[in-house]
Amino acid sequence: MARRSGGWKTKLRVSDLDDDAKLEAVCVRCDHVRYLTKSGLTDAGKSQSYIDEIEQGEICTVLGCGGKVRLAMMHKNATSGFVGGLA
Amino acid sequence: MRKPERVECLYLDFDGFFASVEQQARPELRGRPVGVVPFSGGKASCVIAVSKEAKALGLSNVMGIREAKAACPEMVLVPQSPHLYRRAHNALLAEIESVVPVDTIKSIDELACRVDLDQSRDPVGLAEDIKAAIAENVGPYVTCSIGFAANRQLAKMACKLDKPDGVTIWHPDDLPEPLFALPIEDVPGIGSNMQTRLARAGILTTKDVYDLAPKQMRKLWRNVTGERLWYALHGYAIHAPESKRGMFGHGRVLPPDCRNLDSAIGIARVLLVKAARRLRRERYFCAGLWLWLQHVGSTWSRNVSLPVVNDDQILLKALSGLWEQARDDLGRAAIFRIGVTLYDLSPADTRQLDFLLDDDTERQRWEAINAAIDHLNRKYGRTMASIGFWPAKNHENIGGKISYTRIPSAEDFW
Repeated sequence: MARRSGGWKTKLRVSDLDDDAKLEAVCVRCDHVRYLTKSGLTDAGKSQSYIDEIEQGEICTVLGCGGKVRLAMMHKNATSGFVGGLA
Repeated sequence: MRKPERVECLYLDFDGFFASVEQQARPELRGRPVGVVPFSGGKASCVIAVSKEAKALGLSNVMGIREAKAACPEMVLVPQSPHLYRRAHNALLAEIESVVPVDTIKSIDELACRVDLDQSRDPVGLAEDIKAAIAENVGPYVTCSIGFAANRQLAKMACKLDKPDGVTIWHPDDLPEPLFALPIEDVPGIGSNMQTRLARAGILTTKDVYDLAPKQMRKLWRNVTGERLWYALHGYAIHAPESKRGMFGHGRVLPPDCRNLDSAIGIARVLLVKAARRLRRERYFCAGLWLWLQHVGSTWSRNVSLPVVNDDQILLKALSGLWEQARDDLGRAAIFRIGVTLYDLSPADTRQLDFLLDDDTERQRWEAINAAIDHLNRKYGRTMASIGFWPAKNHENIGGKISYTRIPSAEDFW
């Protein structure tokens, strides 16, 4: 199969994500944030979907909004920091 | 200790991160000198980050607003948007990870990756792939500088040499000569105090530091950090040890209309609840609460021991007790800053309950209530429910502070 061009969302399928991976869905209209998990997407039968396809299919769940969402991969929010200036 | 014979580490540092993210998000700022400030309207504060254009005019980060404006009157001051920087960080990391796995995140704008054997044969190509992924999929206004070396410390130092938007490669065979060209203060880990201490010992240049023995470095630093730095500078595979979490806390400078104990309690409660939410999210319990207030001319602080807990009810009750003590001690004194800290942490799987305290049923009830509140807030993406009152104003960005040790998540802004 030809390699898809574009960013990470066009390269990764749900099944490629780590088991504990979380995707942050931010509404472009109202800024509402919710999280999508690999297990939730797999249970919904989307394990073979690319992330950009998931993004296109999702809408904001706030009552009366229904805006498009932008997906971002969540990372650990703890950094490893510097110890005595050592990186 | 192993001494790599090839480039094994990539260190990436975004150029003027906050300012360039603002320029990417707001086209009207592009090409102009931009300074990001903590909040709008303040003149006594400082510029926390400046754009590439402002740096080219001689301005630097952490410069007083008055001083910066005097040097560059056309500079555009923009209040910080931590939520935007957080989202940009996530988007950028995802693009970088599509090219090379991220080994560790050092701060919101710095990270390190491990370079495999194949990639180490063409580091310039790897850097170009990363920069292209960012430019194509995030935007061309957020640029980064990349350094390659045998270890993280050397890669970080290399990365700083060609800013903005540069690539520097220090092959192990090329060292140590490029190191000697750096002024001693550019070696991470040598701050002004250490520089003075080294100068007293007759060590004035980076070469002088390099020529020391590991044990001499340990003695000069008065701890093991000096010895670790020696190994890092000499190209050994060493990096900062993992640090253990010791506390969860938040602090805030109070807005002018909240600078007394009656008005500030709302902000103190929000600070505490936000710290407690993080405590629970990261599956910890705490056994102590510390409250710190800065008032005219001095500081006041008290702490209280707690059973091993993490629910809002008991923490807010403990805060009320400390607040009453503050009221007794400070009366109507004006206060300027508040800090709350949850300390004496235990991971959830090693929680040890106090067998002399008969509060099991009540504690379990409050923990269940708190779990339901957290679930509701997560479901709706904002603070829908809280224990006790939640102030209507003056809590913007509480919990969303970006520091060297932490990048906030969306939940921190609710």
